[in-house]
Amino acid sequence: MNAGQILFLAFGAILADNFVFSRLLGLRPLLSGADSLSGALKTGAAVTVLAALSAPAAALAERLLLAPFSLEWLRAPVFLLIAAAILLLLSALRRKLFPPKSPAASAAPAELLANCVLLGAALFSAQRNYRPAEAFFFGLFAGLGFTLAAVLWYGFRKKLEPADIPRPFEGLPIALILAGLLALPFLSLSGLMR
Amino acid sequence: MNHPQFRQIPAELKTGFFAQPQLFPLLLGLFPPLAAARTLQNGLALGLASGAVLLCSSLPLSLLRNRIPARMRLFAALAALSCFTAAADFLLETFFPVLWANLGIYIPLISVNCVLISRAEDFSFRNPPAAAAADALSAGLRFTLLLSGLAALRELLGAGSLWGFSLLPFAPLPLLVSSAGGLILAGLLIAAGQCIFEKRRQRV
Repeated sequence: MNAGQILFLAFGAILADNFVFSRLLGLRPLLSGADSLSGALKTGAAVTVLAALSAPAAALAERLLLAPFSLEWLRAPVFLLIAAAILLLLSALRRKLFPPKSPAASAAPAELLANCVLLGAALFSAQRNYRPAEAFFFGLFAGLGFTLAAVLWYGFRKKLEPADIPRPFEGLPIALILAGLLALPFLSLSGLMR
Repeated sequence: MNHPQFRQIPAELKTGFFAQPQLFPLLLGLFPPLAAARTLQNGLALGLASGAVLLCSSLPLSLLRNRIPARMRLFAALAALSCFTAAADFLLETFFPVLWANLGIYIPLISVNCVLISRAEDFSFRNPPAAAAADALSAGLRFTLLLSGLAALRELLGAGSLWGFSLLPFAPLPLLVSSAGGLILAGLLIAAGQCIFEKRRQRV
């Protein structure tokens, strides 16, 4: 892989085809909880690491196991299993390296598995038949794109807090319209990929 | 809702009619399927597939509810949902290959839809099989209705057609076919719903 290909993947996954704003993957975690910048960055970092590791594993599984036996329909359970294994491994590693102060903090954050960015990165890598190295960068950039979206989202929510929103638009509607408007600049970049 | 991610829905998001516990999680479950629900056909297929997956996985989860410890519930729910999603994927690929190719990765993504996860975690783990199946059926049908309604509107206004037949000679607002347009349309519709509900409540 040369630098140009990596740049192309980065441009695609972060800007032109942003997971959150153009694929709506990982939008729900933002809608239902982006209340602090550090929280957004932490979730973003966790998703980035997990996606960067599980996407190449998924690409490998697709090449060695699913595609040769035309078992593509088994992608969802197999990729979730891979992501769960990586999550458990990483959290065990973290416990070893940084012994937690309280037992509650040591639990693996299982809800990360339900984040659509993880499964989405694995599924796209398999569908587009990426090589493991490409899948690694794709997962990495997908996670970074999610982090960018989370930080943007946090900033815009903060700006919106003092605003006087019409009564029917309060809550979810204004959040959705905000997300739609945020998606427009990303949409305008998608023409560059073709 | 056992997991913080599902519990921590900020209060400011929940207002009015659509904050009701039956509706709000359904609305959050529109993402990611909304990205693929560009036409009525896609929306209906995704909604029905999600409903069927939820219905099928509610039974084993409900039967095993006393054997699965609380901290494993999300894993168990994901395992059941992903297995039935694989079955749905296989059936769609076999019988509706064109539709299957259109929906692409959004079929496997059914397994991490938060509507299904929260119904499976919230209800199937606390209730006997019959009640769990009834709840899954009603949640699945309401979700199908919501998704296919939105998809039909997007297809009609964004592409000027319905179920693939062109009704209008032109596309009034092609933006609606994109994800951004879908989000804005969903926001406007929810706002309109809240407005109507408020008016009705004031009259009573």
